[in-house]
Amino acid sequence: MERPIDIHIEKLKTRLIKMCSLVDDQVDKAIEEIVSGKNTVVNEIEIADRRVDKFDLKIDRIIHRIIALNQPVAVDLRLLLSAMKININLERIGDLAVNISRTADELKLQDKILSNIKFEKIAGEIKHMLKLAFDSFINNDTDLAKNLFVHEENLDRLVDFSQNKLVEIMKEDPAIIDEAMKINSILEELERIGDHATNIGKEVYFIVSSKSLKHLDSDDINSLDDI
Amino acid sequence: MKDTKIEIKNLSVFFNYVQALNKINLEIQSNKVTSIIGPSGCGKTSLLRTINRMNELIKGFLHKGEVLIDGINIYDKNIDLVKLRKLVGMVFQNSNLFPKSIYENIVFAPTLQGINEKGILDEIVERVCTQAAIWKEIKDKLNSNALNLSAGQQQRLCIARTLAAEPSILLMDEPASALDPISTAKIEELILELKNEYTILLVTHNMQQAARVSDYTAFLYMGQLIEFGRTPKMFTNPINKQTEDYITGRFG
Repeated sequence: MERPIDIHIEKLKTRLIKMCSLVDDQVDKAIEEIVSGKNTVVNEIEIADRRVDKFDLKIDRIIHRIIALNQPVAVDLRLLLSAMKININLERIGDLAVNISRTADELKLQDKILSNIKFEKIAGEIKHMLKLAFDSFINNDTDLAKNLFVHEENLDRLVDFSQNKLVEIMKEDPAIIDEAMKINSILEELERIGDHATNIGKEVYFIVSSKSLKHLDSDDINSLDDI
Repeated sequence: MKDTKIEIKNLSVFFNYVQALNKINLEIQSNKVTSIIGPSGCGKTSLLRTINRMNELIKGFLHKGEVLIDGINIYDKNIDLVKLRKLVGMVFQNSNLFPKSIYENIVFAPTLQGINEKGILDEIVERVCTQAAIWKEIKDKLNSNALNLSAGQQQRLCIARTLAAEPSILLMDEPASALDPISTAKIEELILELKNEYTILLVTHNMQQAARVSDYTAFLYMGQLIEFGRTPKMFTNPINKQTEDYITGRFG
């Protein structure tokens, strides 16, 4: 039997999944822009971001209304509290994609630099982490959510390596410092996208288990009992 | 530290050989509010009424197990029922005031206990009406008919009347279900106030009310105690799937 709250929760989930799809597309395009140098997508990413912002407001309103009218408890309440945070994380990912694409728009020498850092691996890791985060949310899958921690550590290592490499490149050729600094800021923003993906996984874990994964590292996560 | 006021041990209750409660084990803490929730017919009221032995007024009542208050089994043969019901006061869903004055309603129990001195009775009336948060509203019309009060005031007067018997346990069976939101809020404030001096058991269908006022919650289903625990835990992360289904409204 369907409860009145189920209809609203279903609507909320559908909106969030659409928002996942939108920001996923934004990040894909931003990465493509960095690698290919095509700067025609900036506008597309900005238009998508305005849609993401609208979703953000709409999702806030839906959650507000469900809480006011249904007085949710237990798993319903956890879902709504976490949906609010997932919404914030998605909106931030969208903003970061816009920032990345604007910075990428100014790049001229990326071919020369990107081949010397592990950019492809970083891009692949980001895409994979977003997929894990979104799939874990759609399927309430805590294993996928926990898996994000391993990938986040891997991403951090890759970014560290690439930033060190950038320093070396700048020392060797000071003429490309300006360009390398832009790529450095892109790396930092990609790393933050990874953090937001992990945050989404933490919220999924909380919805399903009611346990918080905040402030834990991957060793702590591995020692957690299966749900 | 746990301070158990009521201990229910392996309690089963039957009415005309139909089982209403099945091996209930429960410890009720002193000066705490414990809510009993569950769907209609699950045995909430039957459980409540075992604590002042009111079920015995129903023909065909049988019980197995024990109910201990302060360590004494209230189903022992030598228990004085009048003393037990003085110790365990009860407030019902609908106010059941006598068609007498406000004053007479409140002094009814103390008079039965042999208190006749006007000064002492006046003192009791003011004390219990203050405790029941109704003194300011009735102090100037103590001799008017109690049934002329509003439903919310009548219910608080019932609570005052119960307190006049000087109980240490209050059983409340849906005390606010017939009241408007303002009167309900007053009863809930009163429950929180009264728990400093009394151990309170509250039967309610209103889950939010249980969440708002109780320290512990017991979920009964088909005569069985499914889950018992601290209210915040019960309403955020219950252990049992049936509890979660009930509090989130999935039952049906």
